[in-house]
Amino acid sequence: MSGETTYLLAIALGPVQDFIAASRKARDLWQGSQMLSELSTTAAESLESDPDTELIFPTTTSLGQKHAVANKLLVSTTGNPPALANAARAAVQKNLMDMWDDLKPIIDTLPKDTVDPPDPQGRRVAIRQVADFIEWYAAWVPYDPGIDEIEDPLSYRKARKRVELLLAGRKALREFTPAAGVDMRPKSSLDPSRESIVDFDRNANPQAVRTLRLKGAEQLDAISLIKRLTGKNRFVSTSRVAIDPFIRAMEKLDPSRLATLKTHAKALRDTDLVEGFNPGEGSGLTRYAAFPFDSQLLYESSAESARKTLEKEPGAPPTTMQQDAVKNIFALIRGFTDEHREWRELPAYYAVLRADGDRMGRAIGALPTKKDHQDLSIELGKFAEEAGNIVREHFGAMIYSGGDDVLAFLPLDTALPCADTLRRKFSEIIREALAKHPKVEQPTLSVGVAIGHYAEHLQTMLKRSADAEKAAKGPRNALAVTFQAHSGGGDPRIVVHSWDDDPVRKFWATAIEFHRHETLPDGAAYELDALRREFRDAHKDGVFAADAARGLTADQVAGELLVKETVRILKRKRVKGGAAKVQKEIIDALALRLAPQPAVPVPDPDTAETPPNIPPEIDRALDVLGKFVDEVIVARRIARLLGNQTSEAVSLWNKQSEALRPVAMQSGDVAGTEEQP
Amino acid sequence: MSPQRPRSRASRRRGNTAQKSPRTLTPPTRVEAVTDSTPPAAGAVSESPPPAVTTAQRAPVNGSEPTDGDIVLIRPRDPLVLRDARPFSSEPGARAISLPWPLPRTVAGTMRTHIGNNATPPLDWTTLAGPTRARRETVSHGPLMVGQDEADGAWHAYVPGPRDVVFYRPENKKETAEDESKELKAMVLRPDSPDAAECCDMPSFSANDAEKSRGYELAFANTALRPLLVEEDVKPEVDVPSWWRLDHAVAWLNTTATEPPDSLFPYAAPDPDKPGAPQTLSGLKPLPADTRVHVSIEPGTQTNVEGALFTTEARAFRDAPVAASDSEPGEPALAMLCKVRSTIEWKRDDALVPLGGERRISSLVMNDDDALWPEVTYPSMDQFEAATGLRLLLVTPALFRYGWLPAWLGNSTIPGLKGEKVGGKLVGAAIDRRIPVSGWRVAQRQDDDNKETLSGPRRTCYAVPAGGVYFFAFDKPMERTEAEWHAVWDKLWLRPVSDHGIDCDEGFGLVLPGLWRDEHMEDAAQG
Repeated sequence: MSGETTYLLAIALGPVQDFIAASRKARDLWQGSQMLSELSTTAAESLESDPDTELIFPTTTSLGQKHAVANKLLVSTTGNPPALANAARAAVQKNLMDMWDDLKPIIDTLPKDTVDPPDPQGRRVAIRQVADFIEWYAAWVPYDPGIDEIEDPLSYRKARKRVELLLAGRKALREFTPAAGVDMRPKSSLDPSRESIVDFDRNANPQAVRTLRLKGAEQLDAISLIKRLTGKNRFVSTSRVAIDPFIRAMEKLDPSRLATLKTHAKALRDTDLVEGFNPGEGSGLTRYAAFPFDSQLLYESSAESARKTLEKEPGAPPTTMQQDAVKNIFALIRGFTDEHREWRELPAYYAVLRADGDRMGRAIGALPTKKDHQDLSIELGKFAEEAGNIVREHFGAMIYSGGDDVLAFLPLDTALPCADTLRRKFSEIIREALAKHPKVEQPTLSVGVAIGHYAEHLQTMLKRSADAEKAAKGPRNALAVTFQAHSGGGDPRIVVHSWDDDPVRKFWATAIEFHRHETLPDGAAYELDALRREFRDAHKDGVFAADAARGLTADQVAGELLVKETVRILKRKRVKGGAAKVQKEIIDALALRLAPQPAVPVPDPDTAETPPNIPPEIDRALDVLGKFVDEVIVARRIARLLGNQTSEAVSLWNKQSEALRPVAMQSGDVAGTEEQP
Repeated sequence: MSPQRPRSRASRRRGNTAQKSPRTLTPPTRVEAVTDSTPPAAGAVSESPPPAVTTAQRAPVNGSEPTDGDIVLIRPRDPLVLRDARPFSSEPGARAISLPWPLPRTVAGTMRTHIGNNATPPLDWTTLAGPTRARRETVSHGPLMVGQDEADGAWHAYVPGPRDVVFYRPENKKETAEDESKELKAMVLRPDSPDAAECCDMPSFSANDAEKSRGYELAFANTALRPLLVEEDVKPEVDVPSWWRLDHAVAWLNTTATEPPDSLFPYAAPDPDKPGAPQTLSGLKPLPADTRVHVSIEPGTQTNVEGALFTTEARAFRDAPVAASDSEPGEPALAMLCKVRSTIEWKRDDALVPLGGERRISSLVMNDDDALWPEVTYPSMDQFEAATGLRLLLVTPALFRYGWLPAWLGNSTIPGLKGEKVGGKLVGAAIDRRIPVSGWRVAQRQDDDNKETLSGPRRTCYAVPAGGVYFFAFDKPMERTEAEWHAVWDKLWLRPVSDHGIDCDEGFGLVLPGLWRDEHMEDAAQG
């Protein structure tokens, strides 16, 4: 015991961004997240092992749980803060070095110097790469735990604020040591700031390629190799997540065929074509047990291309059994899709979901005592754990769940109900956690969902999901959805709805119903989008003029025309093979979204005339129309997946949306009988 | 500041390659570069950067000899492929990622090749002699971002936004529809009081460090590092320009105020058409990424390989200014500006050269009257007198011997300021995470044992990213005349401060000088 001064010690460890950026595959990302969480845990455990130190963020309780530990730590201590911080840092450093040492048995099975060969001076880079990796920042301030007065400068609350600011000031200087670079070596495929340690002749050594789980011409640095080889279990690929609705359908409609598919997949296991993973308890992947394999083979467009892919494998030529398995898998899928025509196009799109609590910092800052923070810390741990369950229930794969942060991959058919369930659970837990503090504003959850093709570059998908989350964070308490077709150009639009508007039920489920019941023709969305662009450009060029007679600005004139034009286009459209018009209710509903009417028009007391409807400003109308178009386009893909299955996915939607009924289906299918003007 | 420039519209060109009459030039008179840019012996720290570049502008007379190097305007005609160091092949799903801005070495290499190809006689690239000579005898400072407005046709320089100020939107305390105010506020970051340094783990020399050299210890001996004072827990506004106009940056660098007036910052004028729109800062966004999806071709059949889509990313420079309209502000055309000196005799004609990957073409416009190297702007005497230290803003990434820590600190002097006695200790820095710098060595070279090595990947070095700010505190009050101060500024203005001469010659670590006043130290002293 160093006497009587008590300190708050805050530590930030990293790099987080580099870890996220250094991933091309889902498993790299997942493993990086696991690794960072493990290092944070090591730091927390080192601090906790000191008898004079008490954990706050994370708490001792949450350390033992399944969810991730965040990379920012806060403790209270009567010990010596710099010494504690240094010891924790050393423990983290040692843990990382141990991870590297743990690879030695694997590396030692390969010919000498296959991995991390010495440079001309005899130096090896791997150890230096591992030693230089951790970023570490610490700050501490004294406080008096006996003071309850929250405005007292020595109070816990003030001290916590001060230590956070001090840490931020410390982090302004992101120091680094010189690189451990070596000439004439390619750089890592995952992190361009480090040299590869696996630059050997791939054709001469196919066994090493397999042992190190390298793909193609991939190069890895020491940290990336730890990520690649440390995991006891593998993680699912984006394609496995994307195709999950198909597997579920197969499981339901034709379980024996699925069993055969599994047998063939097993025959190819651990070639480059098929990788198995363990969907056992605790893996977080139990929902994928029906087909625990990653394979692009399912997507092969022809048996021929599948065979070619197999032949490109390094090493020994494929065995007859393997060749047969490839053929059989193709035939099997084809057989199923021939029988079930609605699955002709395999689901290739998936969603990256990111969620983050709004104004957590403010809520944390408003809580006065250490105990309050520890309680909140435990509650956030509960949410992190619940979030894991929710994502699993929705057939998703959790990458990271810690505190108020979630990053997960989800199949397209369940992503939006999952987002909705997450935010409800978050609000519920926060409400309980802050029940004793009615004055503290309750944080909400903002969720960004990026939908894209499984073969889209992972970094691109992560960037889009981050953009979506940022868009949701603009208004806060919102859901932002972004979608881009594979090889589609341009910036995808982001559709943002406040959770207050219950968007999954009111907008997304409705739009999905349009498709399921063919109440809106496919072409309508694209035509409306073209209209939107036309109006936007015309507006930019100043085509519209004010209407002085009616007292309308140019913006209003344009808005009015846009609404009329939208209605005209929809009235022209035919659905159900040309048999029916678009329902009037749908057209009216959209017109109303574009130009909301005052609830009750108030007559002018002088003239007793009801004022005319005020046309919407063009910018707003364009924005709403854009949202509508995106809703319809994205919903179309989801609707196809939901198809006519009555699977769990549909019930998940139903749970969210009471009943998947379109806004105006009650009147039957005799839609839109009125004549066009 | 706008560069001093003659108003001869006749000479104005827009990046075309209209020819000046071919000139045969005598070598520049300043030849110090040759000796100075020789790579230092291994382990040695370059005492000084390349020789003084006098700040006097070259005489803007066509046909006259530039005395101070050639000013090259580089106008990319295609989006530039500026790949990071990740290996790239056309395998399915591969993606070539482009850096946001070319590294100085990329441009220096392009210029060396161009000079060598146009030398009389052309340099021989097939032996070591040519590349060695090109490298030793050429100095390239840049690239600076330059933009050309519709209005006046002149190219104005931009610099990376300094990291010692953070912009944010203060939260509305009241319950209003909007959570945050539309207004931007600036939080100035300055070294905190020395007491604060005792409460965090600022970098320090430890005998256990891997890098145990005496030089490392000496460099640390000249530091007294303090964290920067962050006064409020704010969420930095992300939508701020990554490039500031040089004159805006200079106004910021010259001020000694800790609470500067709003007028000091480049807040964009409110748009009368959009009342209530959030306030913004003027400046440039990062260059947009131009992403192209390609498909691999089967060599035998000339058909595409099934599923073999791969993506390349490139950085697009706007090639012509966009005029301001009623609804949108104008956008300048964008290019790079570089100052090149070589003792090699070469033909200084406008030309087309490949720059970056995939042989994307840029046009070189030599010594254009509308594209001048920015002229030094001095702080006022009041500002000099109020200052208690220097600031250095990195305009290009800097390579230092000890990572983030310059080895020249051990000499107690900023490069170029030898004899000026304005040094002082390094007391703080606002620098972002390191960036890797490597590249591909095209030329053969001799290694340390005098053996020829083949071309191939260069080793990785880590650089301090541009936009970083270093704070120095004078040891004692400076009593200098205005002329003496100006001499100091002349020696720092857009000059490189990297540790090794060769890095300086490639343009790593160009700085803009600035001032600051250590009020937190004064407060601590008084308190």
